[in-house]
Parts: sequence; C-alpha cells; structure tokens
Amino acid sequence: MATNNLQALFRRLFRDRTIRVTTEGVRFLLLTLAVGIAAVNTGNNLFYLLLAMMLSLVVLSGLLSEQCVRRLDLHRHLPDYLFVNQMATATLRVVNHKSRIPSVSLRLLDVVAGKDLDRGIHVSHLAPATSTLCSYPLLVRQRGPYRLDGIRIVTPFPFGLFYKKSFHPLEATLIVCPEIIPLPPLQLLELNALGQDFARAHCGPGNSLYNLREFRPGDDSRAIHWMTTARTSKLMLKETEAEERRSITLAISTVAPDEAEHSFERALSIGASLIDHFLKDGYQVRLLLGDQQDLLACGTDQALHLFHALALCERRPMATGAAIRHSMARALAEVHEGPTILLSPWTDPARNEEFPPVDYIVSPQSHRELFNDAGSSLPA
Amino acid sequence: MTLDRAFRLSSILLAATGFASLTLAIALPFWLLVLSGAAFAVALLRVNLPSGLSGVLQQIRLSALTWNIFLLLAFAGFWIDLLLVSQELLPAGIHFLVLLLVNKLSNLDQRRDFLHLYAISLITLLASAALTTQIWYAPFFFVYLVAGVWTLLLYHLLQEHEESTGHQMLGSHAAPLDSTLPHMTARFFWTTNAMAAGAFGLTLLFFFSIPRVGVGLLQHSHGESLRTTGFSEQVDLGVMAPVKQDPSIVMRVELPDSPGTPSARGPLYLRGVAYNRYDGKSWSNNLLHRRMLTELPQGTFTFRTPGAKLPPQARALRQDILLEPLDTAVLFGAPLAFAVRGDFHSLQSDLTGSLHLAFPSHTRIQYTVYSVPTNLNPAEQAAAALLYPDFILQQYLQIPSVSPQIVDLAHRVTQPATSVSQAVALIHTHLLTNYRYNLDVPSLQSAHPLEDFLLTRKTGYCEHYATAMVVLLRATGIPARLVTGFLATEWNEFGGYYTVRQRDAHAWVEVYFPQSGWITMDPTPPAPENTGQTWWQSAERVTDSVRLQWDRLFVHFSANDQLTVVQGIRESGEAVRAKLSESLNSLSARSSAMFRRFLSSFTSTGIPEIVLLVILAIGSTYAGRLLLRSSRSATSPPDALSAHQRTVITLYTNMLHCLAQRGIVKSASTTPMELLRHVQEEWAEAWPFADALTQLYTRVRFGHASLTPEDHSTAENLLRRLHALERATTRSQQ
Repeated sequence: MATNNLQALFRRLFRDRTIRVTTEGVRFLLLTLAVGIAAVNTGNNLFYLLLAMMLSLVVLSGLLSEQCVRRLDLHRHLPDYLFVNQMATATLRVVNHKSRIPSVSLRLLDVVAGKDLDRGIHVSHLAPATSTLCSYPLLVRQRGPYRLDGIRIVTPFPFGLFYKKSFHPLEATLIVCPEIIPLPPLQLLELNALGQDFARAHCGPGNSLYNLREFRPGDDSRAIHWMTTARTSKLMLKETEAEERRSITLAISTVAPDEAEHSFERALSIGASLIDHFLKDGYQVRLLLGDQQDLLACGTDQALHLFHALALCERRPMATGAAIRHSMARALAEVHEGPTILLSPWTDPARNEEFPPVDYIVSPQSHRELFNDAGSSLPA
Repeated sequence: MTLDRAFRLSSILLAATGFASLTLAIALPFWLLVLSGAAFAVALLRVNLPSGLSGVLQQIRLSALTWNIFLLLAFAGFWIDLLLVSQELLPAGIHFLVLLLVNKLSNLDQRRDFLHLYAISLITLLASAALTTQIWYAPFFFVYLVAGVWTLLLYHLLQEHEESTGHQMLGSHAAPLDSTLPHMTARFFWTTNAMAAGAFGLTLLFFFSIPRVGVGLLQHSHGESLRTTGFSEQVDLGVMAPVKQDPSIVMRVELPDSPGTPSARGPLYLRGVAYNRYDGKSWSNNLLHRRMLTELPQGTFTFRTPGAKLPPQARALRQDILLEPLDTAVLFGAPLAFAVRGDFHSLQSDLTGSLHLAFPSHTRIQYTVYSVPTNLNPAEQAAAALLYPDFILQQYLQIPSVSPQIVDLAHRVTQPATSVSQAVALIHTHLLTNYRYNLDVPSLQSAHPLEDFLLTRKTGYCEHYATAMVVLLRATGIPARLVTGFLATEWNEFGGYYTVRQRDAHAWVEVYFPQSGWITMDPTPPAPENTGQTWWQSAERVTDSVRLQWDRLFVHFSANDQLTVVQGIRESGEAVRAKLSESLNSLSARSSAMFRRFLSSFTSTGIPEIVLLVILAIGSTYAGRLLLRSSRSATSPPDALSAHQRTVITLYTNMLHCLAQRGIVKSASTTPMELLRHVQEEWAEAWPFADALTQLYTRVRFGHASLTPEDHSTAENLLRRLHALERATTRSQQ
C-alpha cells in the first residue's frame, strides 16, 4: 500500500508534470545567469537583490502554473465511430474542483501514441468550482483502431516563461472506418440497375398490388379490398408489394501483396462507400470480407458493424490467398439473393476463374478512376 | 481600461523606473535627459491620446531606416565618448544604453521591441545598482518589481488572447484600443497586486538565503570617501572648526547590550587618535610604532596575547559601529577598547592605543568594539603624589615653549589641591567655568593660539580646551595627552542608535594614573544647542533609521549574517524541541496515568484488560475510517447536476420500479447494461423503451452529460409508454 502510494507520488511528481522553457524563458534565464555571475563576482548586494527578484519570478511561475493545472477533472465524449477524412466532433468537459483559485490559460492537447496533438482547445479562464465544455473536430487519416492515451494540459501562465504540462490519463479507442467517397453518378446508376434486375417482389408496405387473400384475425382492417369482398362475399385483404427490401452482396478480397497496400485501402474505402450507398437506398447488404463470417445489414442503423468490420480488416499475405479465395468462393456460391459485387484490391489473372461468376467486379484500375473522380486523399 | 492599454502603460513604467534610478545614480548630460524625457512623453501620448490624435502621431513616426541610422550614430558616439569625452567605459556605456532606450521607446511596435525594452530597463537598473548603495534605490526596486510582474503577466495574457482569437494587437501600427479587447477588472487588479506581493516576499526570501560567495573578481569601491580632519599624524590647533558645522554622517553606533536612553547613559566618546607632542601650534604623535593585533576565531582582534583572559563581558561595553567610507584608516571606539570584531584582513594598534586599518576603506564597514570604561582607583584618588613610569614621564610631560604666564596659571589653579586627582579636577573646573565656548576663533592665523585662548580671548572650542588642559596638567607634572574622536550625542530613538556626524568631531584629554590607567576627562563645556525638536528633525531621524536598516540588511548583508541567522534558528529550534519534548513527556505521563485509572475502573467491574484494549483498537480504527471517508467526501467534486439530469435519474428509478413489478429486479451488482440484456430476454416488447431510457441515464450518471429539455421530455415519454405497456400486459394476462 505504502509502496503504491510512493509510486503514485513519484509518478505525480515526475511523470505527470513536465516543464518546458519558452523562448522568452530561455532569454530570461540567461539574463538571470548573467546577473548571478555579476553578483558573485562583485559581491554587490544590490545585484543579489536583482538576482533574487528574477529567481522569485521563476519560482512564482512554477507555483502559479501548478495551481492552474491541479485539481482539474476531464471527461471526454467521443463519437461512436469515425470515418477516415471525415470530420467528427469530440467534446471535452473540464471541471475545476478548486474552491477558490481559477485556472487560467489552459491548452488541452490530445495525447495519441505518446505524441501531443494540438486540437486548438484553449480555455482562457475557468472559474473556481465550475466546468466548461469544449468541442473540437477530430479528423483521422488512417483506418483502424485509433487509440487516445489521454489529455495533456499545458499552461504558460503567469509569465509565459515556462510551459507547465500535466498529463491526465483518459484512455479511449475509436474505430476509424474507411473513408466514404462520393461515387460517380454514372457508376451508381449502373450499380442500381444491377440491383433492379434482381429485385424480387415480396409482400410489404407499398403501393403496387402484390396479392389478394382472405382476411385473417389480426390483419389490418384498413387493407380490406372491398370490391373483391363484395364480389366473393368473403372478407378479402389486399397485400401490397414491397420493393425496398432489395439485397446485394459485396465481396471484398483481403488478399493482396505488400505493394498493393494502397490498392487494398482503396478497395475498403470503395466498399464502405458502396455499403453506405446501398443501405441508404434501402438495400439489404451482405458483406463477405475475405474468409470472415459474412455480415448482414439492413438499414443505416445496422451499418455500424459492417463499417467496423471494414475498419478492423487486415490485409492477408499471399500465402493464405488460396484458402481465403476458396472460402470466399464457397460463400459466394451460397448467395441466392440479389446481385454480387466483387471488390478486388489486386489483379491476379488466375483468380477470377476461382470465384463463381459475380455480377460486377470493381477492379484496381477502376479504383483509381473512382478515386480520381472523388478527389480523396488516398493515393490513387 | 483595456488590458492592451494597461500593458503599454506598465511597459513604459518599467522602463521609466529603470531610467529614473539610473538618473539618480549618475549625472547624465542635460541633452540626454531632455531626449529621454521627450521619448517617454511621446510613448505615453501614443497610449493615452484619443484615437484620432494617436493616429496623427502614428503618421509622423520615423522610418526604420532613420532609426537604424540613429543607432549607428549612437554607436559611433559611444566610441567618441569612450575615447575622447568621458574616457571611461561606464559613463560611455550608460550614455549608449540611454540612447538605445530612446530608440526602443520610439519604436514600440513589435513584440520583440517590448522584450528589448524590458532587457534595457533591467540593465539600467543593474547599472544603477552598480553605482549606488543609497536608500532611494529601494523604492525604485520595489516599483520595478511590481511593474515587472504586471508587465510580464499582461504580455503573456495578450499573447494568449492573440493566439486564441487570431487578432494581432502588437505589431500593427494602429494598435486597437477599443472595447473588443479584454478589460481590466477590480479582481484582476488585486490579484495581480497580490502576485506582486508574493514575488516581493519570495525576493526577500531568496535575497537572504542565497549564499554569499564573494569571489570578488570585479569588486570596486562605491562613491567617494568622506574627508575628515583631526586624525592625521599631525593636527594643527583650530583645524576642527570648519567641520563643526558639517552635518554629514560619519558613523552610526548601536549599543546592543546597553538598552536605555542616552540621558541615562551620558554622552559616548568615540576615541580616534591620541597625541603626545605639542609644538605650540600643532599636535603630533611620535609613538608611531604599530603592532598587529592578535586575531582570535570569528574575526575578533584583541590587544591581549592568546590565552590571556578577556575582561568579564558584563563590564564590557559593546558597540556595533557602521562607519562611512572615510579618508582615514583610523577605527573609532569607546575608550578603552580591548577587542574588535569585523571583516578585516588585519588590525593594528599604536602605542597610544589607537586602532588602525592597513589602509582607508572605500566602502562602509561594520565592526564591533568591546571596551572597558576606566575609573579612577580610590587609592589614587587621595594620593598626594604618584610614581610614574619613565616611559610615561618621557612621552607625556613634554611642554612647548609657552608663556611663563601659563605655567604660573597652572600652579595658581592647582595650589589648593591636596592630591593629584584634586589638581586635575581643579584645572578641569577652571576651564569649564572661566572660558566660553565659541567656534568663531581664528586659531590657524594666530602665532600663539594657546596663549590667546587662556590669557587673552578666553573663548574657544574643544581643541583649545583640551590643549589647554593637557598643557596645564603637564605644567604641574601630571602626564596627559590629547585625544581626537567624536562625541556622540544625537540619539535616534526610532532606530536605537547614536548618529555621529562630522560636526560631532571632538577633542578631549586623557590623564594618566599609574594604577588606574588613562582616565578620560573633557574640559569643554557643552556647546549651546537648539532647544526643542522640530518635526523634520524627527522625520530625519526616522529616515536615517530606515537608511541604517537598509545598510544593515541589504547593502552589508554578508555570509556572517547568514551564519548568525542559521545559528539563531538552530538554537531556537533546539529550544523549541526541548520544550516540546518536555511537554509531550508530561502529557504522555498524564494520559498514561489517566488510562491506567480508566482501565482499573473497568477491570474492577470484571471486564478483562485485553478485551478493553481490543474494543478500543476496533473503535479507533473505525473512527479513523470514518474520518478518512468524511475527508474524501469533503474533497470530492461538488454534485453539480442540473434539474434535467436529476429528473432523468428519477425517471430511471421509476423504470426500475416498473420492471420490478414485471418481475425483473435489478440487484445491486447488476449493471444497467446487464439489466438491459435481462429485459431483452424476459420482456422483449419493453426493451426499446428501457434501452433508450438507460442510454439517457448512463449519459447523465456516468458521463455527466448535460441534457436538453428535449431529452428530458423524451425520457418522460419513454417511461409513460413503458408504464402503458406494463398495464396492457397485465390486463392481457388477467
């Protein structure tokens, strides 16, 4: 227990607090040194008095900046998911627990992988026993888990001679999904037409007539087809055709050599964009991601787990290519509903033959075209 | 007032303080003073003028090229000054520094200009500290410190404001002094002043605790020495008259071991030099042989050989003397000194008992003299004749060729005496009663000043009286000598010390008695004094007292003082520790006795001691835990939930009741999410409502999220629908 306390104290004293001298601070310290040398050389007590004044300003800086950063509590609210190159808003609540002393000139930095990232969060004045809410944009350039270590509070108060830094561990991991790019309208039309060909009529909310059947208890009485009822002398119900439940299967191969890293990322990004597009359009989307278990989503509310799968998907080496291709081929063969689209990150002439025929293949060449049109930051 | 305006004003004040202290420390040329004054005035006008006029001033400012040429000219002027005009580095450097200050004051645009101005102002204050040790430096230093804290703080805050808003205030010619800038509040004003006070306190702490390591590579003397008269090897009679009007302070004398007012103690004679030869016009000392005094530990010099006993401290008169720089190497002290303590390399004494440094000090020196006043032995008081040593007879009975009338006078005055001491007293009384004190005596022009005083004019001052007494005593065969020094009469009741001025220079007589030694006698009647004290005299004494403290605590604070403080702290710490330990021991004895009595009262009722001890131990542990918990709760953050947040928590509690009626009970160990899963399994229809309400609750309870009124109404609706569902389900089951 005592050891833990000591360790906590040591950490608090030496790890959680760091000091960096500003440019003005360096000049000030050099002047202090010069005055100190003059005082020692001459023995003039008035020089010692000046030296004491300058040292007192240094110490006062340390004391006041410590007061600024102590007893602050931080709470961070992050979005559930994030897309590459898409701005999201994070909020940070800073609470000053000091009963009398305000905190002044605070800069809050995100600590990501040990590095301080300035998000431009400034708190000029935080009164005692109050809190403030700071929103800041989050923009991430890379897909995958994005780990935040904590928050570093920096203050140059009161004289701007030193930066007193205090680290507040506030660990969080964000899942960054692949970038969603605006797809070219022509290509979307083509894909939509592909979906239309496979649209299968079934009962559901809609306008077109799907079927007339006998009324059963529990049916909506507003759907009774009175003309047929009159003609048949039985309560007949009109069923409408639901056309929005169209299905599409998206297969993304995860096998790619090292040199196709960019192409792999592009494939994932196009995949995410297609998922987003089809889900918004009312499709039921099935995702086949390499040899992973296929995922199904219907409606934008269920899109998250597809995006998460894409976010955490890893490129697989060429050695495992055969097994993955085999697994994908088997999964694709089982698909009986809707069209299938294959996103291939890497062109292998021998590979297409191993898959059952898919309805649409987005090749690496077409990735480039798409990305050129979309103007994404990913290299085309 | 906006922070920007306050910042500019404090910057100018900082520079002005440094410049003013420099102006007081060294006489600057008039043209430089005018130029600097104009620069300060323009800088102030730029800050304080209305925007329209300020704009006009901005328009007429000189270009950067002009100022660069000005700087080059100033640099050339520095070399001309150094090589041709003042021919000294310090004045030439200071003139150049002031020109730099003028340049910066006229170009306060960029952030770096302000930084340069601060550096220059610091150097001016440093130069001032190098040139003076006077008390006026203290208020300038204080103002500089306060202005420095203000300036640095405002500089930082404006920089922060610029960075956060992106609006540059410094660096643009048209400085925005409008209402969009942050304003200074009363709270800010007092907080900044409190910071300045804190900085001042820390400054004092550091000043007194920084170890004084006097390497002294660049030490130099401060100012000029005070010219004194009457302490050289030969002194003309009447030489003291001019200095008797001089109010310059020569020294200050404290008597730390003799508290009380001077009226109780009498005047204090501070002996300087003694003379044994009088040639009719001037006094001289032919006993020039000096010996080094023995140095004891801690810088104490004594007349005695090592191992000899010092006089008892109770009889010794201790004097702490702060001596101004004088043009003589003589050290002063009350007769007869037997030990001197001070920061001296060596100390010498001649055969008359006078103290001499190796060379005159050009700085103020502080030393302590221990003296033992000599009194006439009662045996010698009644002796009709005394047997003097040959050395004394040879050296202290010399008389110049004076008028026989003087010898006759001496015999006439001492004729009724039956003893030597009575003869001395008769001469002393004769001089006191028959002659008048007058400073307006042209003795230096007189061929026979003593005859003029004793026989013709019968008026004179201390030198005449003392010379007359020595000659009259010697004429009757009594060895005597003339002593010069100071007679301290001006007591400073505020500081508790004597202020000794040039006008206190005095001459008196020492008469030799073989057993008693040299007895001090002063035949000079007191000089007529101004009666009553005016308020400015009191004020002057207060000022002088402050000045003495300044000298003591700041100008002459030394490593010895630090050691004394440390020793004092250690001694008082030991005393406190002893006292504390004594109190604790007594308290512990008392409490253990009480505890024993308490235990015995229980054991007599049949409860074993061990049980009582266990109960007490458990009780104290429990009390400690309670205390810890209460302190934790006191330090925990205040529960600052809003009304909406509290309502959502209440609604969640209601939801728990509703679920409980349906048979889904949340135990203490179940988390909200686990409860949700339970609801999903047991009562799927209610899950969407419970889920939404739980999300809101967790945001509030664990995220301290601030909720909107819409969130609040959503939560109420969710609970209502849950209740409706619960009722419907109950009805269908029935």
